[in-house]
Amino acid sequence: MDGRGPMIISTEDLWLIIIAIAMGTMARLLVLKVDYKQYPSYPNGVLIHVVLAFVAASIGAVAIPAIKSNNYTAVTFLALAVQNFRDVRKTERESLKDLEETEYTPRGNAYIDGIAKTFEARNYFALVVSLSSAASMEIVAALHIGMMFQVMAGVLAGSIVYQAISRFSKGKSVGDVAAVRLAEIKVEGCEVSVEGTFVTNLAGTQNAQKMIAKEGVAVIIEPNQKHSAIALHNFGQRKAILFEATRTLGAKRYNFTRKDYETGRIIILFVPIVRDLEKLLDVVKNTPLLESVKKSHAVLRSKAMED
Amino acid sequence: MGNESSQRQTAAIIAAVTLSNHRILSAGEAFVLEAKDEEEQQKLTLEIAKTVKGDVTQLSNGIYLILKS
Repeated sequence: MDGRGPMIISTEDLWLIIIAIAMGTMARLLVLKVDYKQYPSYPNGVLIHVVLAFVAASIGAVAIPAIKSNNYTAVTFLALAVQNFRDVRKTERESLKDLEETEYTPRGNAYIDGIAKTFEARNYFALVVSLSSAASMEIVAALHIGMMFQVMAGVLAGSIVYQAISRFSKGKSVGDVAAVRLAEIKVEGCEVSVEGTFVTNLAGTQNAQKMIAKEGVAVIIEPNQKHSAIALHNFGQRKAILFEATRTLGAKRYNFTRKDYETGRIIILFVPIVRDLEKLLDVVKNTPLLESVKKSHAVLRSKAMED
Repeated sequence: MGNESSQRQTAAIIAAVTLSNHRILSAGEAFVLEAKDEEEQQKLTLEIAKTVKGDVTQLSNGIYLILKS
């Protein structure tokens, strides 16, 4: 004995595990961008997700060497991982719900559900990418090809799987299904309207009338196709749009969303802290179309034709 | 018809500020007070609205309502 203990892992397996973990964690890091949604923008939030991704990637990475060593029960680890990721979704949902009362406007349950699901799904990113990276390295190793090629195969397979999954899981945003533009606010006495559509009559004081007329911003969202209005009129979707708009520009006072039944358009009106109209349009266009409100028009049409 | 009840966008009338020519038959839970002229009516409305952080609307007959959602 040389004092280092028995050799329990081969260099090849060690490389396989390292590369697979790195690929899986990197896949998660690439989708963990602090973008216009600015979430998670807290350093601790980011750290939690990176560590979770590392754990997920590790589970995916060790699964192949475990099976290779006839340790088939190791596959049950995957089931354990799934359970863990579900807990991630639950924790994320609870955490966002706790923050509801402190935001300018609430996110709404539909948006929270969408965000929590996305966080769960992105842990699967890490798991699947590392698993496929490890599997491809093992296949190349079985063909007795050198270590360099094994690493290259792992990186390539991981990248391809990452691209495929991220493309598959990428959702649409409001700007994809509707035209978004600024609109003029009209204040007449205590009534506020936007391009002829009544919004509120809660501007009873002169202060309110002046503030809305001078500082208020209004956006009109017109669905490109008639069926897109089904998703856009959804209360959860409108709350999500208003939330993104008010979080980006702040909200001094007053915030309304209205739907115009005749034209199918949506109106968002609020008094922002920072009046940046370009940013406002961008953020509304980039608000994700919630998974829970999305409907497949093609399926609806074929069903209707069958009937 | 949307699921309006779950959307909770209703507001409660906290107070009504009237003038002497207005007749209030029943106010429910709202607090009603009478101002001597329009200037005082606006002033009182603003004061109550600021206190309760409420919104204000004016009816076509001149009564001010303070609402809280």
